[in-house]
Amino acid sequence: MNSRREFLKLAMAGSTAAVAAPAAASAQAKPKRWGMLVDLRKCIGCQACTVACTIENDVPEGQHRTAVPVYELDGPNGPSQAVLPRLCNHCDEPPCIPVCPVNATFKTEEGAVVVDAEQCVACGYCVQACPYEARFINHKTGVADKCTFCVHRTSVGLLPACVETCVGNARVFGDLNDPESEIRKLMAQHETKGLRPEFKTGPNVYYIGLDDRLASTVAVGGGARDLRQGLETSAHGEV
Amino acid sequence: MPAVDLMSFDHEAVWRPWAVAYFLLVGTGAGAALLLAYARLVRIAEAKGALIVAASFALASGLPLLADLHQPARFMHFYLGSAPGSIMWWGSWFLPLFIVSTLLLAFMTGRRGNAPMCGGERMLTMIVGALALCILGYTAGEMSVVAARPVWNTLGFPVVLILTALMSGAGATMIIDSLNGEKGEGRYMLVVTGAATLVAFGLWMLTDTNLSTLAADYAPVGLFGGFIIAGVVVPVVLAVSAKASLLLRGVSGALAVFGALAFRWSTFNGAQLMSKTETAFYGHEAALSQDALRTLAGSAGLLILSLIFVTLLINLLAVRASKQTQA
Repeated sequence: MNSRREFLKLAMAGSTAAVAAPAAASAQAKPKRWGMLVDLRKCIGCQACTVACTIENDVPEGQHRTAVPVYELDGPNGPSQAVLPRLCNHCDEPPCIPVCPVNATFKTEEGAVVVDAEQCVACGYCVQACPYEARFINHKTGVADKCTFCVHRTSVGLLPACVETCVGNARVFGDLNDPESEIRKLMAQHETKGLRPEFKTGPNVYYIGLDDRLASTVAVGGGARDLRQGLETSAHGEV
Repeated sequence: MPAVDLMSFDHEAVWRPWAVAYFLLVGTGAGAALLLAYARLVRIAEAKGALIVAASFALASGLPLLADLHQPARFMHFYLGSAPGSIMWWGSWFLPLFIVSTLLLAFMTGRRGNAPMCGGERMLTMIVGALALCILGYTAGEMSVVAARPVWNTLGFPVVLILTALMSGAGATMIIDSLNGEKGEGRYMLVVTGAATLVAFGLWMLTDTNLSTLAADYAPVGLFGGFIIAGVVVPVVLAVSAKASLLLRGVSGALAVFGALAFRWSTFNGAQLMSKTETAFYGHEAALSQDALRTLAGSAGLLILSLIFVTLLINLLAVRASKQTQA
């Protein structure tokens, strides 16, 4: 299960499942390790993933498990538009897990970082610790919230909602431990980068075509935020 | 030239003004507890003002912390499991121990009246001092380990946070001592920690561009006006010049507490509103917003109640002890 196309192929091949079962069993001997690859060449910044995630996971207005900031960058041929889908990176070394004082956040066997909503005291420490701003305190549930790679969908063989809805197939989801998965094949064919390498978190969200100016702290200004805050570019208010 | 944000997403500060109130109250209580331990164990002084401040500020600190939890009714989850890798988990043990031990010390002090301090009370004073160090260590460590917040993840932040806690503890003690008509123990500590704060903050400012950005662009009034000038320089000058004046000592102490508040307000809110992923600032929370005023009023009310409770506890027990001695 790597992309919508492959998923449909698998679904159509369901009738031959009995024949394929032994082969599938051997392929699944190694535990899955979920990852996502975002091909920025294909992303058009339509926010369909943002909307699909919000609806699928009942995320309150103004909060996001995934979103796609859009920037204008200078290039050799003048300014160009750049998009950067952001979500939890489901890190190998997630800074959000060790700080949790009640062990409410943990990694699943497939490597997804999730929150036990019944255990969370909503102290916000994990929100502070995440360098990707992928966590928030959900205004509806009152507990820490984040992308789970749609664990409720992937656990029953479905794709994450953002991948399912992506009109350009820019998001590819799959098993990083499976060399035959589409995500692994694409990663072998292209140079990929992760966000914020300086934190050494081992992110499991990879990007094709990521501009170096967007990989770490993005030097930004003079755009939508200033307009929204009603500020001049150079003027700031007191905290 | 920076990138122009055509579509951007802001994030809110997750630690609200209640967190500022908690760190101020518990820091001041711990600062006063260390002053108390020093005065009692080294200078052989009673330091009643420091005891009242330590016990009442510690007692008042618990509720703002609970209020800052978005699920306060689940606070028992801290104690139903263990997470020794989390500094906050350690703090969840230090805080109740600190509160109970300071209240117990106030009880013992009141019960003995004017009699000399016994070995048990001396031992408890040492325990209170040790727990105060744990409180200061955990509060500073809890924030400074957060690598994603560069203003906190420095050497300067925990040092200044601890120094301002000590200064605020000395300042609050000076207020209580002035109201009781006593010179007390806090003046020297306020001057020393105030001077050290100026040096530490200056070095931090010179070596950390994140702090200088916060101070220059987003919190100049809070950090330069409220903290450095009104909260450190003026109280230190007043404390140095107020050798005999109880009024000046009280004013100096009050300004020192205000300085600790201004530092926490500016660095807690400011750092949380500085984007982790962009060189952006997520809006401005007015210093007198409804949320902040509610926190200020709630914390002040709690503190006044705690002060009344602790003062009554010590004084009523002392009167009872005096009557028993006379009988």
